[in-house]
Amino acid sequence: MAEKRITLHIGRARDLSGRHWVFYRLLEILPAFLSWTTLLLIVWLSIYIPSWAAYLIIAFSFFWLLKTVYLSIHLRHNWKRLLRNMAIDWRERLSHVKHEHLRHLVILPFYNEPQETIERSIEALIHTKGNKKCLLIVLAAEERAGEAVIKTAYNFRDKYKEQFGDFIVTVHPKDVPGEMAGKGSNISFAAEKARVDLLDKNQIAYTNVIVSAFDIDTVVYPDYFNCLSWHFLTTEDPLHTSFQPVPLYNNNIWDAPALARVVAVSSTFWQMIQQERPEKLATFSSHSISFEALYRANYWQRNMVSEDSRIYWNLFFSNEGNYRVLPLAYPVSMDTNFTNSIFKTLRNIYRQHRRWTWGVENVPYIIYQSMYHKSIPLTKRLRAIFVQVDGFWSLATHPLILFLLGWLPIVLGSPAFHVTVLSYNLSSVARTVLTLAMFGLVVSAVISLSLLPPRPRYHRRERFVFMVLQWILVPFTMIIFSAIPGLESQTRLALGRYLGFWVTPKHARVFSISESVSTSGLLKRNV
Amino acid sequence: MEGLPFKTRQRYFLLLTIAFVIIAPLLVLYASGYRLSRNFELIKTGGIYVEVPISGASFYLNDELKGSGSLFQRNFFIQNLIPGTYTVRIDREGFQDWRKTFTILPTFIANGRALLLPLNSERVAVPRFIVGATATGTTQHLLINSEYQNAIPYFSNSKLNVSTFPLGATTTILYNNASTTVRDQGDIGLWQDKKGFLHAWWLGDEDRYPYFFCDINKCTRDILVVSGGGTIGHFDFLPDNNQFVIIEWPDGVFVTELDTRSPQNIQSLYPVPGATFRVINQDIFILDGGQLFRISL
Repeated sequence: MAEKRITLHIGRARDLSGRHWVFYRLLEILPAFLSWTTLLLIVWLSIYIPSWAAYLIIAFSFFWLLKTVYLSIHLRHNWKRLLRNMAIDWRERLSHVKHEHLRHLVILPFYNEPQETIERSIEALIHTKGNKKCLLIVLAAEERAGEAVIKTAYNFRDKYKEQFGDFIVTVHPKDVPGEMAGKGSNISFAAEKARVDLLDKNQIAYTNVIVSAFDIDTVVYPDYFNCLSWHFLTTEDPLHTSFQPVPLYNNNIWDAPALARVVAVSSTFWQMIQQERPEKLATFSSHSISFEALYRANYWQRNMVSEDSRIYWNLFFSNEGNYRVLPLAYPVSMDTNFTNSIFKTLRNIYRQHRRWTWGVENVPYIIYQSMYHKSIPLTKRLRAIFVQVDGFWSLATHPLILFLLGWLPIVLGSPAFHVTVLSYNLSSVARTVLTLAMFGLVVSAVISLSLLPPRPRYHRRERFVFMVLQWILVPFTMIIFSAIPGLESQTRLALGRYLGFWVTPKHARVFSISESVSTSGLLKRNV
Repeated sequence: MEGLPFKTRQRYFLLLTIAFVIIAPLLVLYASGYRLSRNFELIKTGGIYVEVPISGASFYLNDELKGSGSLFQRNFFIQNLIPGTYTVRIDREGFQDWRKTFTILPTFIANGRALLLPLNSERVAVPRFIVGATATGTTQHLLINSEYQNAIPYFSNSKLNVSTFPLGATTTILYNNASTTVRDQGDIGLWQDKKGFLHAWWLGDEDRYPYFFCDINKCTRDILVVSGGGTIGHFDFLPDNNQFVIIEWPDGVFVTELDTRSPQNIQSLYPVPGATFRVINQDIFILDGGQLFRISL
């Protein structure tokens, strides 16, 4: 068992040796190879066979239009499901099933985020519906953050301990050999401490505990734990299931600049779309999972950045493919990433997305593990590989092909190409198709408005207009905050210049709980 | 409420895949110039694109008005033309007409650049002397005009010699095994042969010929621009343009185009016998009987 755990927790090629190292290293190069080959192929075709490049671009533009339609259908359905789920009285529904034995272990990892951010998240937990004594809170601090920060954690424990079933503080030691400083190592340490100090001590069965690993800015909606419990108790095989809420970035969205808003809501939309395609869904950011499954997998990986999605793949392979993610279609609210300086905001968004797209480190892992887990049906393994490879290839190449490289045959093509009808029609046909695709943005604008929390009084009513107009920034954000960080991540992985964990700074204005979640439009529907 | 059922998603996927398989090839064919004829046969069409330097010009195809340019869309583009020969005329009130006969090939666009000179070009006299004032402003006296003084030496060469063109690039080429100096602008050289004929020579790569060095079948490095009309006194490119050439003939100063296709448009710039011109710092100067003018187009 122990040997298998070590094999499952590969972080990168250097964790292996010999031919395994060589093979894994080649797999690390694969995503960048595919993306760069695609982009260079377009450039090469544009120079030497521009008509082929033009055919490809026109067909690809149309493919993108149809893809937009397809994804919009998913988005719209999830939106309706989200609103419906927000309107359900989950406590009442839960009362029909035996649930009193369940405990929620909530892990809140933090580094040096503002106290107000931590307090807001804890307050939100207090405002949830149901028996708070079922909530076991773990405030997971980092030793490297310093004494003052750790002291703050204990202050929170003293202040809120009585409100919950239990409340402990864990301090993840710094410089542990074999670990990467970051969320994964911190919450794994916290989960193990909680096992010993809370579960074992109180003889709580691991199968009765659901772990919710939240980012420190995660503000739960009041029925989150009721909704989660209901799904846990009613779903088939809950011990082989992770539970994924929809991350809304609503905490401070009214204060964020347009670019930050578009990027944040686009991330939400992508998760909403994935919620309707559960076979493509992996855990992301804040998620929930049974402690039993987590313990068997030896918790989250401590030696990598993307522990949130990796835990799903750890469990997928450790359970020989018998593992899935159940979309909750119920939100949690988080911070939009921005600061007071537009330049720093752009830089932070870029870094955040580079960290997210660093999830490409799962590609070599999935292919490698697939080679050694032959009891998983081949089609299932191939599908898992295809979904991941296609996902990272698409995000790095599609925006560039659509919005930049589409013009290349006209710019780089020979004079012989310039006198063809194709050359003259390329831009107009591609533009028309893409303009039609942009109508999908209207759907996005409508849905995003419906998900907004109430407008703070200090913002004018006109700001609604910008909440709609902001969507014209999408082509720009797709390139700057999707394709380029995606390409950088893949290139770094290929070159062995691995990314470390980067903590997203939380500089935003922090609202009190009554200003953010509890007064949000979404919640109003629920109350 | 359940998630989108897998079968429903499959149906959407299948529907959109079918749409892609059917429509994407049609889009590619359409963009390439293929059209359905009235008999529902797939035919290859071509088109014409004419670059127009001014706004508000009218575009006639076989003497039928097809449209007028605007401030934002000066150029003309027409497609869906069945292969064949078409006559294009572009005119605008106050300007000289431009005509060209285009042969349309299937899936190709015939390019053109319209030469539209004003009927009466705006000319500004450049006097030898200008009136100046003393520092106190109490008296006036004549001063030598520096613009005149700088321009006039360029007219002193009585015989044309390309290598002494004012402020312009020249290049040496081999023509009939003899070294020849040409006036060079944007990889196009202008020069006169021993008979006095004016040639344009493509100096760039063979796979980069401009369209006006090509006809339906092939491209040529050498275009014979002028082979008659009297002795050429001087020639040069129109400023900022290497497709049009200013020529001094005995009956005045004219502009013609480099284009292998007929008719060759020749438009008058300063149709006064004895006048000559020079292009200096991208300005056209006319010297007419001792009087110097600067021409604005």
